[in-house]
Amino acid sequence: MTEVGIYRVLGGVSLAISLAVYLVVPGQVSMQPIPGTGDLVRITPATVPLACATAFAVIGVMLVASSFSRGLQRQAPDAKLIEREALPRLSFTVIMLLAYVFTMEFLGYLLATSLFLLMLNLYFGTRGATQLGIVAIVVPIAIYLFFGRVMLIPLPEGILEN
Amino acid sequence: MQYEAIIDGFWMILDWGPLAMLAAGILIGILVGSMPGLTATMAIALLVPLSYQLPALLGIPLLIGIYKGGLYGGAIPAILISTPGTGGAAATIFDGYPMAQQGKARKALQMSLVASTAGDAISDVVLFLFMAPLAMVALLFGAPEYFALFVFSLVIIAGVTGDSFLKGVFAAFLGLLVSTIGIDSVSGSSRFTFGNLNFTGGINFMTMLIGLFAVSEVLIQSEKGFRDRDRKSSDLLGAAHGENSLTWREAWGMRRVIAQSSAIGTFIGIIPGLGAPIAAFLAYTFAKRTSRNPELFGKGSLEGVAAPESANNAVNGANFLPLFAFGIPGDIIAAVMLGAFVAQGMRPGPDLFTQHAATMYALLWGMIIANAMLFLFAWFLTSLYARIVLIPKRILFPAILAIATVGSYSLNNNLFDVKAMIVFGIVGYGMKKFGIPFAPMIITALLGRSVENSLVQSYIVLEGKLMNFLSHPIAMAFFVLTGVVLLAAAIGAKRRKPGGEN
Amino acid sequence: MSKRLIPWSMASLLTIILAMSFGLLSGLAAADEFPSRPIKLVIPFSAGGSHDAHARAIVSVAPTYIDQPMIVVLKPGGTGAIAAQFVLNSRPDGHTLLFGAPDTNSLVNQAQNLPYGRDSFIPIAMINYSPVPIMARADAPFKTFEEFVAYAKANPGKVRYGSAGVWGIPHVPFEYLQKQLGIKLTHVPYKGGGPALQALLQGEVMITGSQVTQSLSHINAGTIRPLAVMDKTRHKALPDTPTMVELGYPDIVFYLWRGVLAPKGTPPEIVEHLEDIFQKIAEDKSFYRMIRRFGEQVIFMRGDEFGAYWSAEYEKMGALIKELKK
Repeated sequence: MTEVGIYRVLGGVSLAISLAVYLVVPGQVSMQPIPGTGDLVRITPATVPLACATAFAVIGVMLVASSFSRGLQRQAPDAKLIEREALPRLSFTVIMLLAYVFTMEFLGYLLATSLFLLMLNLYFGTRGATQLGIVAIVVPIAIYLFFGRVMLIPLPEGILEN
Repeated sequence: MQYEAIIDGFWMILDWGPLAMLAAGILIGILVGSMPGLTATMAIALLVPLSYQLPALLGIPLLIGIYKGGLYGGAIPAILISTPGTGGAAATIFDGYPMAQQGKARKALQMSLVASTAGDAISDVVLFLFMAPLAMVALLFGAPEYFALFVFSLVIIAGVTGDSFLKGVFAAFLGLLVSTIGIDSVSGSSRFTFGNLNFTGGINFMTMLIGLFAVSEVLIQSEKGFRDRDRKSSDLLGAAHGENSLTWREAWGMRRVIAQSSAIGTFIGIIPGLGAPIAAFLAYTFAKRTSRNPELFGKGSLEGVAAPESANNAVNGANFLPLFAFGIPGDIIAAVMLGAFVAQGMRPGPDLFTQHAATMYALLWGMIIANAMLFLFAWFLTSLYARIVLIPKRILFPAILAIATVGSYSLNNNLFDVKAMIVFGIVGYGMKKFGIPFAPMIITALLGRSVENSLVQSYIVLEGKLMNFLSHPIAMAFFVLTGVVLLAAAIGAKRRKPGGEN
Repeated sequence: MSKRLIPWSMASLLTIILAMSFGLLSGLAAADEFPSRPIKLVIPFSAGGSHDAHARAIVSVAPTYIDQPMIVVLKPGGTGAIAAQFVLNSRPDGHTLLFGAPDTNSLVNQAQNLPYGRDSFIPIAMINYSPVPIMARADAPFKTFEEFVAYAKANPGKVRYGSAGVWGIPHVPFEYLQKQLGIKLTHVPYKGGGPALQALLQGEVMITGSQVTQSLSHINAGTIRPLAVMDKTRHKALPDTPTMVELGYPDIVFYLWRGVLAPKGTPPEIVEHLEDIFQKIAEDKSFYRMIRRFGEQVIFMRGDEFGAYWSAEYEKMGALIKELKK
C-alpha cells in the first residue's frame, strides 16, 4: 500500500472511531459537571472523550485531504503491507495466540503453554527431540515454577487442578 | 551540613550485612527487572514484609538494591526482545532493539548500563548535596503547575512523530481515549466500563506496553517465518567482539546526552507523581532534538539508548527527595518504601534527618555504593544476556509470548489483562505497518488521567478564571515553552516541505 | 506431508502425558487445609498511606501464625471501588481478602450506587480506627478551631480543603462539618492522601484531613497545625488538640476504620479460621509495637462485634449521604 493509501485508510479509521465514540458516550459516560466546576466552563467526565471524538473527526478529514496533496502523490509506491506468503504464517500465529488465551482457563497455564509452544515451533520448523523437548516441556515448567512458586502468582490450574 | 552524621553513616554502611543486602537486592532487581511483566515493584512488594522484621540497615538496603537493579534490568529485554521490562525502559526499545538486530546487542546493553549508572550517580549526588533547597522545588508545584508541565510534556513528546504530524496526533488521541476508561477518583465517575467489572480499573499501562511492543513484534516476525539471518553466531554477536563492544571513545562521546538526560530525570524525580516513563520519553525527545544526527534515532542510534536510560535511573535517586523531605513518595516504588521506613520507626518528614541522621546518611552512602556494585555485576552479565540473541527466533519469540502472558496475567490474576495485551498487540502491529509512532500514544495513555485531574483541580484553585493562570509564573513559563516548541516545529516543517503535506 | 505428521502427533501426545504427570506432581504438594495458597490482602488505596502501612505490618507478622505467606496487593482507584470489585470477583475461599475502610465500604458505594453494599462482605477483624483530624497550615489565618470557623463564616468559599478522593474520607466528614457549622469551604479533590498532603504543604489548600501517621513529622516541625480531631477522646499522639465533643459538636465524630473483610460466600469454617488468625496477629507484641510507631493504637474487634459496629456506621453514613446530596 502506498503512503497515499495508508492516509486514506487511516482517515477512514479515524472517522469510524470518532463516530463510535460519539455513539457510545451517552450510554457509558456521565454528562454531569464535575463537582467544583460548572460555573464558567462545564467540565464533565464526558469532556475529554468527546474532545477526542471531535479530534478524530478532524484528523480523519485532514488525513484524507492530505492524501490528495502533491507531495504524497509523488512518493514511490511502497512495498506491500504484507507479502502473500506471510499471510498464512501471520494468521496461524494469531489463531494460536487466541486459542492459547481462550483455552488457558480450561487447560491450565502449564498445559496450554506447552501445547502453544509446541504448535508454533512445529509449524515454524523446529525439529529434533531435544529441541522440541526443551520447548514443550522444560520452558513451560520453568516459567510455571518461577512465576508460580517464587513470585507467588497463582496461575490457572485448569483440568490439572487437584 | 551534619558532618559527623555523614561520616558515621559512611562507616555504618561499610559493614558485611548491609553490603550483602545491597548486593543481593541488586541481583534480585536485575533478574526481576529483566523478566517481561515482572517489575521491581512486585519484588519489593514481596520483600517489604521481610524488611519490616530486619533492622533498618539490613532491610532497607535490600529494597534499595532491588529498586536500582530493577531499573537497569528493564532495559535488557527492551533491547534484546523488544519487550519493556519496566515502564521506564519503553523508550529504550526505539533504538536498543534495532541495535540488537544489527548485531550490536552487547554494545547496546553496555551503553545502557553506563548511562544508567551515570544517571543514578548524578541524581544520588544531587540528592546528597542539595536535598534541602531542591525539596523546595517540589513545593512549588501545585495543580496549575502540574497541568502546564503535562501539557508541555505532551506537546514535546507528541512532536517526536518522525515524519507525519497527523499520524502522531492520531496516536496521541488514541492514547488519550484509552486513558479515560475506568473509574476516576477525582470526578468519582466511571467511564466506558460497559457493565464489565474488569474495565473499572482502566487499561493497565504495562499490559499496554507489552502488547504494543512485544506481541506486535512477534506478529511481525511471524510474517517472515521467524527466520534468522543466515549468519554465523559470531556475526550476530558482532565480529570478534571488537565491533560489538562499547569503546571508551563512544562512551565519552555520550557525555553531553547523558548529562542532559540525567538533569531531566532528576528534575522529574523531584516532583512527586511523575515517574520514570515520562523522564525517559522526555529525555529521548530532547536528545533527538539536540542531536547532530537526528535521522539516526529509531534506527539504532547510541544516543537513543543513552538518553532514556540515564533519565530513568536519575529519577530513581531524585524520587527519594520528596520522600525524605516530606514523606510524599515520588512514585509507587518510593511509596512502598515509605511504608518500610515508617515501620522502622523512621517517619519521613522534616525531622527525619534530625532524629535519624546517621542512619539516613548511611542509606544515602548505600545508594552511591549500590551504583558501583550495579555497574560491576551488570557489566559481566551483559555478555551473558547478549547471548540470548543466539536463540533461534522460532523458539525465542513464542517463549516471549508465554512469559508476557504470565506477566500480564499477574497484574490482576485475570485473563482479561492477557486479552487486553493481545488487543494492543494487534493494534501495535497495525501501527507498525501504517507507520504510526508509538511514543505519543504511550505518553497520552500515561498522562491522560493526570492531565484531566490537574485541569479540574486547577479550575477549582483558579476559581474558574483563566486569567488567574498569570499569577502562577512557573505554569506560565511552561506554557510559553510549549508555544515556543510549537512555533519552532511549525517553522521547521514549513521550511522542510514547501507546499508538501500539511 | 506424512513425514511431518508423525513427529507432530507423537510429540503432542508425549507432551500431554508428560505435562499431566508434572501437573499431578505439583498438585500432590498442595494440602487440603486452609490456607493452601498464599493469602492476598488487597489495599484499596495507593501505597504509602496509613492503610498500606498497617497492611504491611500485618503481613510481616503473619508468618508466625500461618504456613502460607500473606502478601499485600495494591489496587488503588475509584476511592477503593476497584479493589472492592476485584475481591468480589475472586473465589470466596478465604485467600483473597479486602483491607477495607469506610471510604470504600460505607461511603463511595452508597454515594454512587455501586453494586456492592454492607452484605457483600463478611467482617473478619477490625484492626483499629483513627479519628478524622482537621489539619491546617501553620501559616493559615486561623490558629484555633474557633478562629477557623469564624474566618470561614466571614469568607465563604475562600478556604480550600484537600480531600483524598470524592465521596471518601475526609470529603464526607468535611461536607457534613460545613452543613452543621453553616460554613462554606471549597473542595479540591486529590488522588489519595499523599497528593492531598503535598497540596497542604505547598499551600494550594489550607486544610486537609491527613492522618496522623503521615503528618506527625510535619506537626513536630511546626509546618502543620492540628485544629481538632473528630473524636470523643483526645488522640494519644496529639494531646493538645481538642476534640469535636469538647468544642461543642458531639455529632461530628468520624472514624477511619481499618478492617479485614472476606467476600460474601466464604464458608463459615474458613471465616472462623481467619478470625482466629487475625486475632492472634492483633494480639502479637511486635505488631503492637509497629502500630504504636505509626502513632496509632490497636483496637481489635472480632467478626460479629466488628459487623455490628460496621452495620451501625453503614446506616448512619447512608442517611448522612442522602442529606448531603439534597
